[in-house]
Amino acid sequence: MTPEAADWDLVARVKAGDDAAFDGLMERYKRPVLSFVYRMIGDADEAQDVAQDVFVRVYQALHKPRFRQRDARFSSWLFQVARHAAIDVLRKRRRRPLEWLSPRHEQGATLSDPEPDAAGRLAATELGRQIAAAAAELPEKQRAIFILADYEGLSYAEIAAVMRCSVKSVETRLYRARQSLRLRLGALREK
Amino acid sequence: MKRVARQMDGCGEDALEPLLKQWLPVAPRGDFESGVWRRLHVAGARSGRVVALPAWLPAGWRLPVVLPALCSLLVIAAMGAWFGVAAGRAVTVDRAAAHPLLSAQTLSGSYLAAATRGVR
Repeated sequence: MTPEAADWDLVARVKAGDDAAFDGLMERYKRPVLSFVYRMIGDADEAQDVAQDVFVRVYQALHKPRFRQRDARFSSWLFQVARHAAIDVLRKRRRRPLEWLSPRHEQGATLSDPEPDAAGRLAATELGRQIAAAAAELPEKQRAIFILADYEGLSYAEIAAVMRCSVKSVETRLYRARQSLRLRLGALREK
Repeated sequence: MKRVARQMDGCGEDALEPLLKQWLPVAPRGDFESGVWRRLHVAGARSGRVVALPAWLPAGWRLPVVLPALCSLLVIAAMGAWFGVAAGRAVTVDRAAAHPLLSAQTLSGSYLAAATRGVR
């Protein structure tokens, strides 16, 4: 069974009332969803809340009578829900601006390859903060496409399904995102 | 990550790759799943029931459909009853006016209520 078919099989079981199957879906996708949301909104604590909310939305949507499988991949639909949840947070922030990625927010971040010494860890966190800040300057669509392509490893066709746009549009936006980051991070690299 | 660095041509790919690697994802906390179930429980959505409804309601119905429909029916019934009573009174008054023993004067003023009660 392909991963896509396995996902839809789990979805069918969830719809039939098997909550253990939903645990299986969460186990499979909690990391990618959390990672995507974190990179979209830049706050580790808030990302945990939003990622949990994404799964709540998914569970509720799966139990609606009018739910229909529209995407070939479950992950495409899941990332759509995650993107909309992240957009909601960004909109709220626009109304009530917060400091982008303050040191307090970074405390929740867990590096998969932590530096052995405190100074190295601090430097890595600072770099991560600057990269996040550079990415935060990108328009929302460009940022989402950049994260999905380069960090979540989705193909252009999959990203087009998530963003509900053409593959050509994905390519164009990704190129622009990389160009913008190249300029911003180029200055950082020279330091 | 390598793809990012490769496509950022002209900007020192080897230097950019470790730079971008610093933007690492967060790890989900251990209670991630239990947090989701807790939220679902609070929302009343566990086991496929978004909102608890009586068992006799059709399975596909949910509160957003049922409650407004019930409220609308109640409002319509209340309005129907009010108009029904008002129309009944009007008919009674018309009958009273048509009675040969009651003149137009007797139907005016304080006689109206007594006249209608008498005819009923």
